[in-house]
Amino acid sequence: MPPLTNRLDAPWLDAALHLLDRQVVDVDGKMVCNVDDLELIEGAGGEMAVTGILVGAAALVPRFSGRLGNWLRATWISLGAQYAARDVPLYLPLDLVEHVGSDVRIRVPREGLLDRQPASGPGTAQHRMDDFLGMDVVRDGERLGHVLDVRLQPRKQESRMLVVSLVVGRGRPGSLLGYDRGDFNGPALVKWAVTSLHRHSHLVPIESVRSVDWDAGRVEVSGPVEPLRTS
Amino acid sequence: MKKVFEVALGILTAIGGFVDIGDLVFNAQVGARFGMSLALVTLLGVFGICVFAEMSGRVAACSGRATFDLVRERLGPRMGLANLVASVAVTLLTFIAEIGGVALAIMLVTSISEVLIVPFVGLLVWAVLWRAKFSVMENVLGLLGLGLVVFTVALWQLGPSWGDFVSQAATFDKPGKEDWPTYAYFAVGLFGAAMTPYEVFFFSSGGVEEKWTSKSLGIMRANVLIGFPLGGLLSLSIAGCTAVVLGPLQVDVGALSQVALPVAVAVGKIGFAFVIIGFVAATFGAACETGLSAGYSIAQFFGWQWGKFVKPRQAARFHLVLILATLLAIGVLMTGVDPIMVTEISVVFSAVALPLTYFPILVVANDRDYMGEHVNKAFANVLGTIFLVLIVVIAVAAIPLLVITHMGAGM
Repeated sequence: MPPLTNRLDAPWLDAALHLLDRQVVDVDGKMVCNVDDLELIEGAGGEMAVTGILVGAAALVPRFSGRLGNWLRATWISLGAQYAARDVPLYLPLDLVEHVGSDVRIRVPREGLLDRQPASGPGTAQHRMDDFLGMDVVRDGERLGHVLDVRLQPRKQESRMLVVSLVVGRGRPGSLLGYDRGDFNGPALVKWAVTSLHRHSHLVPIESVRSVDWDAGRVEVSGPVEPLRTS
Repeated sequence: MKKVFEVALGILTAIGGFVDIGDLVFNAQVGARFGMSLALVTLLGVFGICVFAEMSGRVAACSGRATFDLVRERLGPRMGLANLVASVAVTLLTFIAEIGGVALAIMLVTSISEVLIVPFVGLLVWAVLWRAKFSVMENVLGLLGLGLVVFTVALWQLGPSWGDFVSQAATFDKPGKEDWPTYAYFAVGLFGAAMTPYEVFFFSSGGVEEKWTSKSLGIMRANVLIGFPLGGLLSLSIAGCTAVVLGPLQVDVGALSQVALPVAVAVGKIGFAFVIIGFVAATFGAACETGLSAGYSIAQFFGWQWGKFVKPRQAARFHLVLILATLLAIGVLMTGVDPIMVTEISVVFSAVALPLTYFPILVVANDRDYMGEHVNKAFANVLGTIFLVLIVVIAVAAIPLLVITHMGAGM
C-alpha cells in the first residue's frame, strides 16, 4: 500500500477509527477544529449516511456519556441559559472535505467557516454518530454485542458517505484500534489483547439491519453476519 | 555551529525532564542518601524516554500530528479527558515550580526574597512564550542550561572512588540506614521524572514547530540520542557530587543552595558562577517547556490552532492558555508556597498520565496512515511494549509508595 493514502479513495472507511476525534485542517494548513461528532441522516427508505462534521461543545460534551456527561451537559446549557439552540452544534458539510488521512483536510480557508447545524430535509431524520456507536445489537433475540464502528462508503457522492456495514462486538467503540483494518500490524502484546477481546466480533451488512430504535439504543438484525478478522 | 543548534530541542526537552527545579533537588537528595545505588534506574529512564521520544518525534515528523492529537484520536474523548486533566495538572504544577525555581536561583546571588522576584520572572517567561522565536528560545536556553555540565567537572575534580561508584550502581542493594519502600519510592521518582509526559508533548510539538518532515528523521534521532543521555549524565553528576560531599555528613538536602555546595567546594567561585547560570537557564527552560506543553495539550485536545510557528493572533486561544497559566503560577507562588514541594505533589498525577500518554504513541507509530513506510520496526515495538508494562507497574506503585513513605521521609 502506498504511504499516506487518502482514505476517501479507499473502498471503505470506519467512522470511529478514521474520522471521529481527528484534527481538521484548512486549505492553508491552519487548524480549524476536531471532528467532535458526525451527522448521521436516516432517509425515508431507512438508508443511513454521514453528511457532515459536528463541532463544538454541543457536539463534544454529550460524548462524555454517563453521569459526568449529563452533569457537563446540564452545566454547559445553564452557562448560557439565555441562548436559543444551545444544544445545536456547529457544522461542516462533508462536501468540503477533500482528504482523510492522519488529519481531515478541507478545501476552503477557515475564516467564518463554522455555522449552526441546519435542520434536516423533509422525510429524513437527523442523528449523531456517537448515539449510534455503542448501541446494543440483537439478532433474532440473541445479543451480538455493541456497535463498535460504522463502516462507510466514501466518494460515491461528494456530499454523503453511505453506511455499508456495522462492526459489532464486545468492548467499547474504538477498542479495535485499527487491528481489523488489514494493513495494521502493531505490537504483539497489544494485538493479542485486542484479538482476544474481539474474537466474537462481527461485521453486519446494512442489508441485515431490520430496525434501529434510537430511544432504546437497540439495533435489530436478522440474516447473515460475517465474523470479523483481526490482522 | 549550526549542527550544534539542531539538537537544541532535544537538550531543552531533556533539561525539563532531568534537571528542572524538582529534579535538581531530588537528584541531590538521592546522591546524599543513596549514593550511586540508584544510578541504573536513571539509565533505565534515559533508555525509556529515548524509545518513546523517538516514536513520538517520528509520528510528528511523518504526519505533523503531535502527541495529544494521538491521545484523543486513539483513546476517545473520555479517556482523553482523563489524561488531559492529569497531564495538565502535572505540567502546570511543574510550571509553577519552575517559575519559583528561577526565583530561588536568582535569590542565591541577590538575597532578594523570592516572592519579590516571582512576578518579574513570570512576566519574562510569558514574554518569551509570546514573542521569542521557537528556535531562539531553544538555542539560548538549551546552551546556557549546559552550564550544569560543571557538575560533571566538579565530580571529576572531587575524584571519588570510581570503583565504589560502579559497585554501588551495579549491585542491587541500598544503604543500611534506608528501608526498602523508601528506596522504591526514590526509584519510582527518578524513573517517573525521566519519563514525565510533558517531555513527549514538548518534543513532538517542537518537531512540528521546527517543520520536521520524514526527511528530518536523522536530525530527530540525533536530538533524542544526544539530548536525553546528556540529561541523564547531568542528573547522575549531581547525585555523584552530593554523594561525595554531603553523603558522609548525613545531610538531608532540601534547598537549592545545598545542591550547589559540592561545586563550590570542588571548583570554587568560577564553578559556582556556572552553577547559577545553569540553574537559572535550566529552570527557565523547564518553565518554557512546561508552559508551552500545557498550551499544546489543551489546544490539541480541543482541535485549536496552536504553536509559535503562526502569529499569536492566529493561535489566540493557545496564547490565552499561556497567559492564564502564567497568572496562575504567579498567584500561587505569591502565597509563599515552597516550589520544590509543589513538584513532589505532581508525581501523583504523573501516575495516571504516563500509561495513557505512551500507549497511544505506541499504537499510532504502527499506523501506515500516519507513518507511511516509517512504521515501527519489531525492535521499537518490543522495547515499547517492555517499557509500557514497566510504566504501568510504576504508575500503580507510585501513589501507595508516596503515602507509606511519607514522600520519601522514611517509614
